[in-house]
Amino acid sequence: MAEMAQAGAAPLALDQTELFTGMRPEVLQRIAERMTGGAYREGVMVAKEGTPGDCLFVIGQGSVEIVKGLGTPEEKRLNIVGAGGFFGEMSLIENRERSASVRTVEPSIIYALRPQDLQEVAREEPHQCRMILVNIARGLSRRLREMDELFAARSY
Amino acid sequence: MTEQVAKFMPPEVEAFLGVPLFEGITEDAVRALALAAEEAVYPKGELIFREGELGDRFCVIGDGEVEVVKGLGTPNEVVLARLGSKEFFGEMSLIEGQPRSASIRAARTSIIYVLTNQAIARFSRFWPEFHSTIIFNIAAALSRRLREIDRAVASAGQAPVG
Repeated sequence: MAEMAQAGAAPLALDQTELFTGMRPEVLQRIAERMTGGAYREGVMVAKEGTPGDCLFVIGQGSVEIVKGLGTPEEKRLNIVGAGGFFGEMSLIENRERSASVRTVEPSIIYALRPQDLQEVAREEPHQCRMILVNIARGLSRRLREMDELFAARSY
Repeated sequence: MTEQVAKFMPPEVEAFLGVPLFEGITEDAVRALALAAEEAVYPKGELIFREGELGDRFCVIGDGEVEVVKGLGTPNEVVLARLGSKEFFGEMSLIEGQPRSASIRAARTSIIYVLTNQAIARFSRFWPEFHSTIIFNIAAALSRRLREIDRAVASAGQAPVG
């Protein structure tokens, strides 16, 4: 718990996270009621490469690293995601196994969102829930842009 | 649709049917989208988009092939990808509202169908659920590409962050 205290600021409200940008508070509140959250210590694996992904994660506090080949000699950190960011969406969108493992780099508070958490709300507020999809696409596009830059810079 | 109407339909309608980007959308809605598209023909080597420009449209390749090029005309020029018939490009600017992340060049004479952001916005008002389907299909395509490039970068032994 001392570690948690050092983490500083209070966890972000969901409407301050990238996944839920632009959504109305009352709709978000209904989604929040269905989501589960957890506090993780530093160095804890939250998602494992190669396993099925049935949810995506929103970081309320702390940060995680996205790692390929975790625990192998080829281990490679691909990215760091901080408070307000999200991860785990690729498995859901593609209906495939996790493409990388995710590990906390500091004490973190992380919320899990499963597709079924959205079902009821999506029926009544389709336009609002569509924004989640747009926010996911935007996040993927931004990361792809960054990776393309990186790839191009090292390819000559 | 009557036979007469079917014959009246311009060629882009046929080209749009069977495009993976439109998977999950009714044929009627795909036809409507095709009618909102404009056809353009680019000879081999011609630039379709320039990196750094603002993007207000995205494109479906009818019959053709294009190259996705970063750093065009610089010593660091590199071809990131080649795209062929029924594939699409320009979606990242559509999603993010950011300048073009790469240039697009015709690798051979190519028929390109252009959809402006306004055309997409209009489509989304008439068929909001199918607009979502398109966004989902774009997200899936982005995710697949990201998965590939993540693997390439990881196996190349590079450490992009930190």
